Amino acid sequence: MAHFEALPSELLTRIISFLDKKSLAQVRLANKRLEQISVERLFAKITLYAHWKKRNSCANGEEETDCVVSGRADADEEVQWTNQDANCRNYKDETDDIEVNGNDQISDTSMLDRHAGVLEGRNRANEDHPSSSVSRSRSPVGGRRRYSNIPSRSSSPVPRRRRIYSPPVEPRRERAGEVEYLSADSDESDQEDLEWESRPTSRNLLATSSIPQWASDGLPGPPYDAHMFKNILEDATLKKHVREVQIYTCNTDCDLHPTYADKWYKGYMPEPEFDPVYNQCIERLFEFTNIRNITVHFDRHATGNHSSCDEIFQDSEFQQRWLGRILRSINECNHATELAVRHYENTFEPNNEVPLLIESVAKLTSLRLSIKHEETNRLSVGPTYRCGNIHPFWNRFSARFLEPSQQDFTTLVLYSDLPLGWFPKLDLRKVHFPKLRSLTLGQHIFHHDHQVDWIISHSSTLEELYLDRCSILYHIGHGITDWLDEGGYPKENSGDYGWTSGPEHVQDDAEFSGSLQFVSISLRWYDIFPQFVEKLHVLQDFKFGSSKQWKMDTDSRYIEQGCQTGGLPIMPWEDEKNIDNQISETRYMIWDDMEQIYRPRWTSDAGVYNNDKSTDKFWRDEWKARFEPYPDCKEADEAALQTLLNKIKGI
Amino acid sequence: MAATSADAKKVTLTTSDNADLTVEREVAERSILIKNLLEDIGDNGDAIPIPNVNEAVMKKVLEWCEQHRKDPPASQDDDADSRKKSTDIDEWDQKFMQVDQEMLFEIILAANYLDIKALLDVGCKTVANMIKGKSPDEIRKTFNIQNDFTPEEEDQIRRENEWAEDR
Repeated sequence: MAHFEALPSELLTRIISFLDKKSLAQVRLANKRLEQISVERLFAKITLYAHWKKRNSCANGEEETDCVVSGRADADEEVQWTNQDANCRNYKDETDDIEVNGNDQISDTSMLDRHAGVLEGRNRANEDHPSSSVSRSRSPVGGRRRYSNIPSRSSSPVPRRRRIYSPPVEPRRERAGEVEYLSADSDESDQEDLEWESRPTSRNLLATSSIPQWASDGLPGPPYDAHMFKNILEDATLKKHVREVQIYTCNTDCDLHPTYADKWYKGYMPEPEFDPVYNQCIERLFEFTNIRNITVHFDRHATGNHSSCDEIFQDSEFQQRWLGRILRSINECNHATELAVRHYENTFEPNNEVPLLIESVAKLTSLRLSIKHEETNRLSVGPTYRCGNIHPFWNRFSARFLEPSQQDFTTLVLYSDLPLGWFPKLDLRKVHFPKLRSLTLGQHIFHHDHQVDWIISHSSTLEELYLDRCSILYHIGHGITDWLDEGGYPKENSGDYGWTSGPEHVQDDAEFSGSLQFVSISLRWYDIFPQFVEKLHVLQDFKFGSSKQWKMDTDSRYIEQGCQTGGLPIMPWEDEKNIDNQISETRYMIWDDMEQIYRPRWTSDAGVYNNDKSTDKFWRDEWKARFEPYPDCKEADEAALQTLLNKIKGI
Repeated sequence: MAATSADAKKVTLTTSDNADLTVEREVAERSILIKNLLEDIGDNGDAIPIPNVNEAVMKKVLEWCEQHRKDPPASQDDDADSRKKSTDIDEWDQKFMQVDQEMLFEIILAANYLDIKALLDVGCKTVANMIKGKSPDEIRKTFNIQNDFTPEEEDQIRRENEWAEDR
C-alpha cells in the first residue's frame, strides 16, 4: 500500500522542491527522514541582509569633540569622520588620498598589491575621461544647445572623492549618559570591533536597548542581525548545503530615494556603515565550498562618476568597493559560476570588479545584470542620455562583460533602466554563446534585423526567450547633421553627442526646418515572431510583454528642484518567467531628439522639460506632417505572437 | 497475454494484475518508458508488460495521458533546481488529483516509473499543497508520520530554521 513514508527519497525530494522556506522549516520538524531531505533545500539559498552598524551616540545633535566612527572592517579602505571643531567634520577617505597623492602615502605595500588593479583602474579612468566633466547649458543660445567642456553641474569640478564635505546633520536622539567612541585604527580587526561593542558602557547599553539609528529613522529597513548568517557559516553541516547566497547592501526594496537625504540629513546622505559581523560574513563567503550562485543587491539610485551625489545612498565607489570585497571573497573558493548583480552602476572603470571576476572565473555560466544609470536633472543639464559615461560603458559592454565567458554562458539576463540597444548603443554581434539556453532582455530597443538574427543565431540551444518591455524603434526625429552612422546608430564623438533643440528655442523657422531630419524603420513584430517560429527549433518558453514589477511612474531625484518628469524606472528582478504575454502600446517607440525621449508616438503638445502645454504653438503643420503615425498593426502582431505561442505549446 | 490491436496506432499494455488495456500509441507515448520500449522493440503488436502498475492506477494514468496527449514534450533539463517553483495546478489536473492518499501516491510512483514528468510534477505539487501552511504536528497527522525527535533535537532545528528565514 502506497503511503507518504513509502515514497523513495528521490520523490520526497521532488515534493519538497515545490515548498517555500516556511513550509520546508515545518516539514523539517516532522521526523528525522524528512529533516535530512529538507535541510539541504532549506539552506540551499540563504541571504545576508544589510546589518547596519549602530550609529554612534555623537549623533545626538550636540557638539562633540574628537568623535571618530570607524565604519568598515576593510582596514585599507577606512573612512573616518573627524571632528575638527565644534561644527565641522572632514570627510577623509584614505584610499582617495592614495589616488590623489600618487601613492606617496601608502605604507602598506601588501595592501597596494592586493588592490593594484582597482586603484590603477580608477586612476586610469580619471585620466582617460577628461570629458567626464562635460556638461551643457540648457538655455537656448542661437537656437541650438551645444556641449561645452564647462563643468556646469556643480559649482565645484572636484570629483566627489576629493571633496571636503560639510558634516551630515544627523537626527537628534536623547543623550543617555556619557559617550564612548570606537577606535578608528585602520588595522583594527572585526573581532576588536566586536569587543568594543560588547563593553558594558553606557553607550552600549543605549545601543543594545534601542534599534539601530538607521532603522529608528526608517532608514533603510527593519533591523537584521547578521549573526543569523554567521551561524550558518560556523555550522560545518549546514554550510555544505549552501548553493546560493544573496547579499543585500541596502534595504530589500533597493530604493532609498535621494529626497530622503533632504528630509533626514539636510542634503547629505551618510554613507552606509555595516556591522562588524556583516563584514565578517562577507570576508568568509569563501567558506561556502559548494556555492554556485552569488547575487548582490545594491540601491537603485546611481551617482554617475561626475555629478553631485551627496544625496545618493550608495555612490559608485561604494559599489565598486563592496562588490570587490564580495567577489574577491567568493573567488577564493572559485566555485561560483552564476553571478547576479542588481542595480549595477554603469561606471566606466577599465578594471572594475565584475569584468575582472568574469575573466578570472573559468566557467561563468549565468550572468544576470540590471544596470542602473544616473538620473540627471533635465531642467539644468538635460536627460541622462546625453550624460558622460553611459555610451563608453555600453560600447565596451560586450567585450568586457560577455566575451570572456561567451563559450560557457547558458543564461544571460540583461536589464537596463534606460531603453537600451540603439541609444545608448548595444551591439551584440561580436559575441556568440554556443550554449545559451535562456535569454532575457529587459527594456531593449530593436531597430535592425541584425538584432533578430543575433537571437536566432542561438537557435540550436535557446529554450527560453523573454522580451520584457522591449520595443521596436520605428521613427527617429532629430536635427543634427550627420548624426547617424552607416548602421543607423548615433555616432559617438569622443564620448560626446550632439543634440537637438525643440522649435520653441529656435528663432528662425527656416533654420529649424532645414535641420529637422526623420528616419523611418520598417521592422515590425509581425515580421520577427514568424522568424522565431521558423528558426528557434528548441524554444520551449517565450514571453513578450511587461513584468508587473516595472514601476515607471517614479519620482524624480530632482522633484524638489521642480523637475516633474519623473525618475528612472524601477526594474524587475527575477520576474521574467511571470510576464503575461501582451501586445502593448510600448512595443513601438519613436526617438524624439527634441525632447530627448523615447515614447510610443509623436506628440507636440507636451513639453517634457517643463510639463507645460505651450510647445505646440512652435510646431508648424508642415513639420508635424513629417511625423510617422504609430504602426497600425495590432492585429497582425497579436496573430503572429499567438502563432508563436501555439507552436511552443504544440498546438 | 493479449494480442496487439488491429489498429497500428494502438498498443496494448498489460498491467501487474494481468489486465490488458488498449490505448492509442500517441497517448501511451506520453510515457517516456513506453515510448522508448516501442522504439527499441518496434511496434510488432505484442502487448507491453507494465509490471509495476496495477489496472486501477494504469487507467488513471492513461486518463491523464489522454487529456494531455497534445502537450509539448517535457524539457530535457528537468532537475529540481531548474523547474519552476510554482505549485499552481490547472483546473482539470486539480480535479483529476482529487483521490485518496493511497491512489495519489500510487499515481506518483507510477508516473515516476513510467517516466511521465508532467504527471509526476502534478502529483508532487498536489502533495506539496497538502503540506503548505501546516504545522509539524498537522503534517504528521496528515501523512501518519511518527515523530522520532527528542525535544532537544526539535529545539535545535527550530533555532536553525530561524537562520534560513527570508525577510
